[in-house]
Amino acid sequence: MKKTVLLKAREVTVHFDTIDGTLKVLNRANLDIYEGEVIGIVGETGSGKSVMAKLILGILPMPPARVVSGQVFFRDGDLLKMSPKERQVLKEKVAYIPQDPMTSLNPLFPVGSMLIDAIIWKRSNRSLGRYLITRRFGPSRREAAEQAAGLLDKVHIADPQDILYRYPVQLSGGMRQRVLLAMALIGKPELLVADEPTTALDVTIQKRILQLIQEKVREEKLSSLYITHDLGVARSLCDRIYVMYAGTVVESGPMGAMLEKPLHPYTVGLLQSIPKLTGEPFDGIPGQVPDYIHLPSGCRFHPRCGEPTRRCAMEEPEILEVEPGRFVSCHRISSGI
Amino acid sequence: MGKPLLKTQDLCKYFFSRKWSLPSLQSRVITVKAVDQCSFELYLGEILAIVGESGSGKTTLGQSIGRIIDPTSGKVWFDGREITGVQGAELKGLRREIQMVFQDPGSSLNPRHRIDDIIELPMKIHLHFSRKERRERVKELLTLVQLAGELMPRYPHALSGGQKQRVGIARALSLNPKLVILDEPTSALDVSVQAKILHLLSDLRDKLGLTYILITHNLSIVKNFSDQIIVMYLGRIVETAPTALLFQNPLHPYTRALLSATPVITDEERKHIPAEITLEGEIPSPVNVPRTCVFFSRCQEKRESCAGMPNPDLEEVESGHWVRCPFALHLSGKAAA
Repeated sequence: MKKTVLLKAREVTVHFDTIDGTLKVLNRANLDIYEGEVIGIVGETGSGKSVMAKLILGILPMPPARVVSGQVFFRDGDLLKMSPKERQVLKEKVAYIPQDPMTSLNPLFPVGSMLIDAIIWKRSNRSLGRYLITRRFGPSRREAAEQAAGLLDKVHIADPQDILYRYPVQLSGGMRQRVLLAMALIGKPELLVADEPTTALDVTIQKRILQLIQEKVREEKLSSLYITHDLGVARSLCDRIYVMYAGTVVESGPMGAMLEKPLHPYTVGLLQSIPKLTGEPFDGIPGQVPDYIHLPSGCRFHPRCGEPTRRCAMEEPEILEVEPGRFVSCHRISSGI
Repeated sequence: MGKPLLKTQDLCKYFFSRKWSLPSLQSRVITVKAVDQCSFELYLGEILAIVGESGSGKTTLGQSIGRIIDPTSGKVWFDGREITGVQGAELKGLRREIQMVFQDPGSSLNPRHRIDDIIELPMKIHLHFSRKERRERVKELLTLVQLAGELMPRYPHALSGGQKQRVGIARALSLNPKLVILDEPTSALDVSVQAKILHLLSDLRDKLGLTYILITHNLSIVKNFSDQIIVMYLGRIVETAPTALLFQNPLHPYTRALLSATPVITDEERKHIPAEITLEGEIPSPVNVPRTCVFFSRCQEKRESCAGMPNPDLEEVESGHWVRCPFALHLSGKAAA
């Protein structure tokens, strides 16, 4: 069965120009999302996961960010070469669930009014004049309210009519995250980008939000890009994962195979760092993520790698397909050690 | 076993606030029972883990013991003497023996103080050391937590999260305490750093003969790190047992649900936790704690008789294993079948 590619990023390199110097954040990162697939990007803080997501969403502030090279295709159009207008329209197809449900909703408005505004804005084809008229007059406001209630119902919020008139402070963290998910579903998106949506939540609530996202992905035939630092969460949700370190995708492949037999030393280290319920010994990775101005030469991971070879410090490793669909970028693997 | 280092009996912490109703200008007092009747014992050199969701009162319990806040009622014994309600010089002496490490290393260090001043401050307050002696001790402490001496003149913002938490630990150890209360010491850190900090803490315990109270929501850490576990829900202890026993045979429905929601990496780990249990709803508000079982609203195993019964007492079902659920043993029988 041949799957259609929804999003394809090729050799994307992104730099940030700051007063201190150029931050070379993304380094030739590749990413493929097929239709109906849930992809995970896993990595530590500062590994460039969010930059990747924001680039896809088109909300990366440029400047300071600058795309040096590479392409990002959504279906057939190159996102990086589109006119702002085309880009705007496409944004509807890519929805976003932000990280922190506490700060992502405006505390001054009831959640319903935010949902209704977004619905009317979409219906008035993003024209401000028409938006203001429909908002004030016409029957569509009531319709929009009904649609908003329907959306809240879709994310399993009990009594949606009542919740529409509540302010974010009156809702719990899990509820807020559901409202944000409902908001993301307004535009009938094809791709759902979720940036650590459950890190601020308790495990029992997290589990239900994950189940909900899974359910919506299936029902609405979405594809999803899920960013997380928790491999356990990624395991329960994703079909394939990309492991990022210091702006490079060091390893990618199907979830199960990856966790069973990690190849890149960073993935190995990351898996070993997690305390296990089986009580196996665990150990961290020495050192810390390098700063993006003074990057190490060659492989960006070599100063923290347990067994670097001489080549590691000198040249960047190429991306190698070790098995179908399984990519690693490491000198040790490519030279067969 | 000998005498316990720390013993609490019916420790309670209530928060009171006044709510005015406008037309009649009458007020009523609202009581939030953050910690309700918590009794436990902690022996020298042991690690006691307090787990629960946010809002379960685990931090308040830790702070009541560390006397950051004063408990409302109940008794506390430390090292053989009663310390309930001690004040003045006696309290100052107690602070030397009980120290805390806080959750967010970013905000628990004063951004306007240098690292050496931060670690030195407790010694300035409590010990009659000369300036030179204090500096020596700061150097000693930095080596102890595996930080380089050149960090001494830096400010917290120049340090990474893991380094900041090490400074927090060094500060807590500066007075040679007997008991250290660790309030979610690694929840703000990456997994690779988390593993390093946990190893450091366990080395320090062996080296200095410390006793820890570990407050966390991560059950994988608890499994690998602690000797004794307290599971809290809505301010009450719902289950307490030695670690091995609790993971082998979790009895309270809440503990089982919490365990089943823990994200895991391998199928091997899955075997160590109960099958899928998904909790409905969220932790109720502690303002009006029901008179029935605190977990009644979310319990998956509730019986009709539960509704009429007052909150059950902790019962000892095996040696050292206490559960607050009259049907606990029945549940475990079902799980075995």
